[in-house]
Amino acid sequence: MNRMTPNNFNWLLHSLLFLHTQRVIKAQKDKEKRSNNSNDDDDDDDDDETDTEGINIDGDE
Amino acid sequence: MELQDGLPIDDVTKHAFLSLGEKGVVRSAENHFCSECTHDYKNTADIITGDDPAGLVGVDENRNVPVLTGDDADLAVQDAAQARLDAENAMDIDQTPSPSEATPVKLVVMDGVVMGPTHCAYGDCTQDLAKLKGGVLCVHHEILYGNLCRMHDCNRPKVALTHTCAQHQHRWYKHVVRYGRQSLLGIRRMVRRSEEERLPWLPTINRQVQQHDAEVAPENRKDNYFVAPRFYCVETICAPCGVVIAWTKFAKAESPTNILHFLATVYPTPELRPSYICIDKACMVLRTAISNHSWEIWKQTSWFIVDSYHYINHRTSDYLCRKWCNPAPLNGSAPNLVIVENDANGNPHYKCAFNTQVGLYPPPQYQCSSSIFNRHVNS
Repeated sequence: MNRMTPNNFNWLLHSLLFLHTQRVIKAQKDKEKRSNNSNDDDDDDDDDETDTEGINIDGDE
Repeated sequence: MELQDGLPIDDVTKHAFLSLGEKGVVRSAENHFCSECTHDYKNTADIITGDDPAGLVGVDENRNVPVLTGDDADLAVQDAAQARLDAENAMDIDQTPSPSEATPVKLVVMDGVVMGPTHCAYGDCTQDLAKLKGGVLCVHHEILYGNLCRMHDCNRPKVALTHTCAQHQHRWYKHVVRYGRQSLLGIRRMVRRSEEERLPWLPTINRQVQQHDAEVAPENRKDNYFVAPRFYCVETICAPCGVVIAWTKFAKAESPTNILHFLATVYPTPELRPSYICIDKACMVLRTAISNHSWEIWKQTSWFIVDSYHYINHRTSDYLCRKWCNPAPLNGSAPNLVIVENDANGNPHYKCAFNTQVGLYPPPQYQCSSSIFNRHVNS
């Protein structure tokens, strides 16, 4: 820090904060994707049960 | 970005920041929203209680709210009585939101860290130093005053091998004796911290020191240019999820005026402004905004709130802080700052809607969520 000029400091800090922000945004998107996937899986499970029931019903008929 | 051929290495970062730095605004964070930093607008609270409006979620659930002491104590009592009355009449309030109120609610957190590089010592100049080692002036001021005595308002030439004129030689030698070893790593920072924090176990300092929050008073300025000053702090605006929205350097102090100016630079138009701005000295900023009339602009879109730690301590002595800056009112008067959560037994309780403990260097785990703490540790 003692040998750092304001311009070098500006560029260093801005780069670090930019990369950090990119990383946080990516983590948030991944988290959202995982959340959506788990919801979809739950929905799929529900759908499977419905389909199975439908097949069974058809089979019974 | 294109740079000229043969550009000195020191100028590369300068041009890079000018071209890509956006004056400290992080463009990748523009228009960012996620479940942690943006919530749907809520017109009324899920639970409206008759608690004192100065009650704080997570602190005052099972105890009486500390009273305000001082001149405005009666006003605080009246507010508490009015809040009880409002709670009784809460069912009569029209709960239909207007279209403008239906926009999402955003919160940003402002905080500063005391750090920064050196800059020119002359007046209010904050340019790069002409010489990194031993230099105290920028190129422009070095040309104008480099050969003159480094005492303020002294236009006599320097004596060889020193930085003062013959009349001020004793000041220069006194400085050399006192600060000759300041290059030891960490010593300057230790001295600086002890001056600002005024820890009770350290010796009392009699000389005037620039206060963290205060505007720079003329009497606080040094009477010489012996040492290059540092930028006082780096101020950041962060979203509750940890995304950094913008940053800047404050040369002299983290004053409310500087904070308001920074906010106006980052949020020039009303549609960009967040609903809530959490600052550890929001009550000071609010007071300054009211006095300089900038509150007339900010009050249309935003609300200044303090952090919980500040509120717990300051609500007993400052009416403005107690009434207007509560970060999570327990009585449901700010439905967008609190959310209802069920505990293990299924009992509903209020919880802060936003994480307000984010900044450049996150404190230990007790001040931020584990996910954000881990993220910072791993980064």
